[in-house]
Amino acid sequence: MKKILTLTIVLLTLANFTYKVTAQSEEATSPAKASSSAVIEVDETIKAFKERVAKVAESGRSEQQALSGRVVSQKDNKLTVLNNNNETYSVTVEKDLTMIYSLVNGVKKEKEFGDIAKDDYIIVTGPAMDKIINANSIYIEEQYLLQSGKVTEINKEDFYLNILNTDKENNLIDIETYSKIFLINIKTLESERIGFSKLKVGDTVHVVYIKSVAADKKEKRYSATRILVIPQEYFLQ
Amino acid sequence: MKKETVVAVILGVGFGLIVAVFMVVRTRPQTTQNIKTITNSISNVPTKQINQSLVTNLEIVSPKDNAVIKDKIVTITGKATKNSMIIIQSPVKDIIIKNKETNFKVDMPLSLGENIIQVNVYPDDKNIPFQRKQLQVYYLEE
Repeated sequence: MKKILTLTIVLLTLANFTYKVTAQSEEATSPAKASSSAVIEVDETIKAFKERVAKVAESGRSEQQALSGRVVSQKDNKLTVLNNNNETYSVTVEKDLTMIYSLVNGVKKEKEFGDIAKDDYIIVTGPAMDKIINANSIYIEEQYLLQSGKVTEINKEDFYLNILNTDKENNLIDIETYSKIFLINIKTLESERIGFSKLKVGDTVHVVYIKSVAADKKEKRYSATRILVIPQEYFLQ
Repeated sequence: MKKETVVAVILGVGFGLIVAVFMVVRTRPQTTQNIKTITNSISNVPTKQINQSLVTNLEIVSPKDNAVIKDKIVTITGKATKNSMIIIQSPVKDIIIKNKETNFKVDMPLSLGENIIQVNVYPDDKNIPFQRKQLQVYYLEE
């Protein structure tokens, strides 16, 4: 009885072993050969992806860097950006990794690389080396600028101000329907909203406006979003 | 040469010398007087007396230029001349304060993206010139 039992166990073990070997050899035949190169490619992509994610995580851990400027050219997932100090940067965009957004009135919307156009004002974040940035994210937005100066002319027909700024340049500031004007109360230093008619020649103004490339090329004329007025009486105190 | 011609030349040269001496004598005191007048006029002009020890150069201690901020509000700290009207302007908000001490501290709200912040200092003493500094910070929620 023992002999029969032992023989049965040995036979069953052999049968199981044979089945496993057959199954493995079947797996290792033609389909495996065909897909082996694809597997290697996928492995390399995953490896590159992991390295990139590690780099991004590393840059996130260290101090974040950001750059802003105008797009000079856009080609083959690369952008050339001119920053506010007239320095040129090359921005590398990686299709599946770089996040691209537009910012309109503080609202973030996802965009694609093709949505970035020449002269767009962008913010780029990511690791930088020798004026080459591997972009983690790109934000397309409007460029706001601030300027101050003395009002030298008020045109009440065309609704614009001529201001002499601190660099002794004359700029025309258009007052739009959306422009908000505030006047400083020189006693309380509170600001109160006023109309265009309350502005006077000789007042000092601090203007917030959106920089437009077209306006820069034509003449120095900008649309104000907000104006803070220091009445001339403040300087006579 | 005739005798008359020689006499005429001598008389001409002599007369010329007399006129030249007269002119030199007349103009010398006038120049000195003019200089005196200018000196007097300068000393009479009231000069702007600025006590330099009371003037503090505008300095923004924090945040650093081009800093990436992860909060919706940034605290701006700096130094400026005492009792100045400080206007801190950004596309989001204008803040006007009067600093009783040289140090100042202000909380400025940020908008998503780039934020240009300008700090303008108008000292109470109008003889002290206006100062301005600008920085840009990025508020990015990533």
